[in-house]
Amino acid sequence: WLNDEVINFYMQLIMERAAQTPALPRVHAFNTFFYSTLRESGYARVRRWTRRARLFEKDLVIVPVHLGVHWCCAVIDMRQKSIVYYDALLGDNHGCLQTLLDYLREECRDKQGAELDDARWSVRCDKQIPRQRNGYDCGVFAATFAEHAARDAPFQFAQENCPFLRRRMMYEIAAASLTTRGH
Amino acid sequence: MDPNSASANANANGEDVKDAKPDTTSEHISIKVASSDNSEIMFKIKRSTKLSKLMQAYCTRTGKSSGTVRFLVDGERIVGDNTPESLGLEDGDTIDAMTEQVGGGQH
Repeated sequence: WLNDEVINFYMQLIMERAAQTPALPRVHAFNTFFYSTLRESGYARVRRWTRRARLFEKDLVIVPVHLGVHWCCAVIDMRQKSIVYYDALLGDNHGCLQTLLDYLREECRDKQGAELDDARWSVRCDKQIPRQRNGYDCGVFAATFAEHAARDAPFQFAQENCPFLRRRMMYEIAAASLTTRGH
Repeated sequence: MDPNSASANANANGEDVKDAKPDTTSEHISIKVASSDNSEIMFKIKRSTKLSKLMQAYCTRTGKSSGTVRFLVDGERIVGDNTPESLGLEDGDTIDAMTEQVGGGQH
C-alpha cells in the first residue's frame, strides 16, 4: 500500500530527472490530486495548476490515477498524440481517457488559444503490460510505469521484481534522487 | 466555531495582534478553503500570519485529522510556514484541502 505522499514525491523525482537530463523526454508529471479534482470538479478547478508547466511544450505528461483504493497511471504522449492507460490489474477505464482528452481540449484552448487537433489523437487501455498478482503492490506498479514511460523504456519488469522496486523507491525517496537507469 | 476562527485563533495567540486600527481591511484577507467534495469554508487571515493557523482551524472546524489533509494552491502543496504574503495570495483566493489517498490494489 502506498499513499499520495509517496507517489507525489516520486512524480517530483521523475520530473527533476527529466529536467536535468537533456537526453530524456521532457516530462510533466501531475500530482495524484490532479485527476481526482479534474474528474470531480471539472476543468475550471485545475485550470491554474499548469500556469507554469507549459504542457504543450512537453513530450510526455504523466497522470497518476487514484481509484478508491487502487493506483493506476495514464501517460499522455504529445509527440505521438496518444493517451495510454496503464492498470496493473488490467482494468478498463475509458472514462479516464475521455476525461483526459477533454482536459487537453480545454487546456489547448486556454493556454494556446487554439483548438486541439482531436482527429489525430488516439486513446487506449494497454493490457500488454506487467501484471499485478497481489492486493497491495499497485502503487509500485503505477510509479514504475511512470518511471519507465518517462524515459521511453519498455516495461521490462514483473510482479517478482516488486520487492526490489519497492526498496529502490524507498531508497530513491530517502536520497531525493532517482538512481541511474540504463538510459 | 465561527467562520472567522482562523483569525480568531491567530488573535488569541497574541502574536498577530497589532494596534487596534480603525481600518484593517488591507491587512486581513478572505481565503476560501475548498475540499475535494467541493464544500467551501471562508477564513479571514492576516497576510503575514502563518497558514498553519488556518490549517489547524480548518481541521478543527471540519473534524478532520491534520495528517489526512493536504493543502494546495494552484495544485502545489503548501506548508504551514507559508503565509498569504509569501504565496502571493490575494483577497478571495482559494486553497484546496485534499484528502489523503491510499491504494494497494483491490478494485
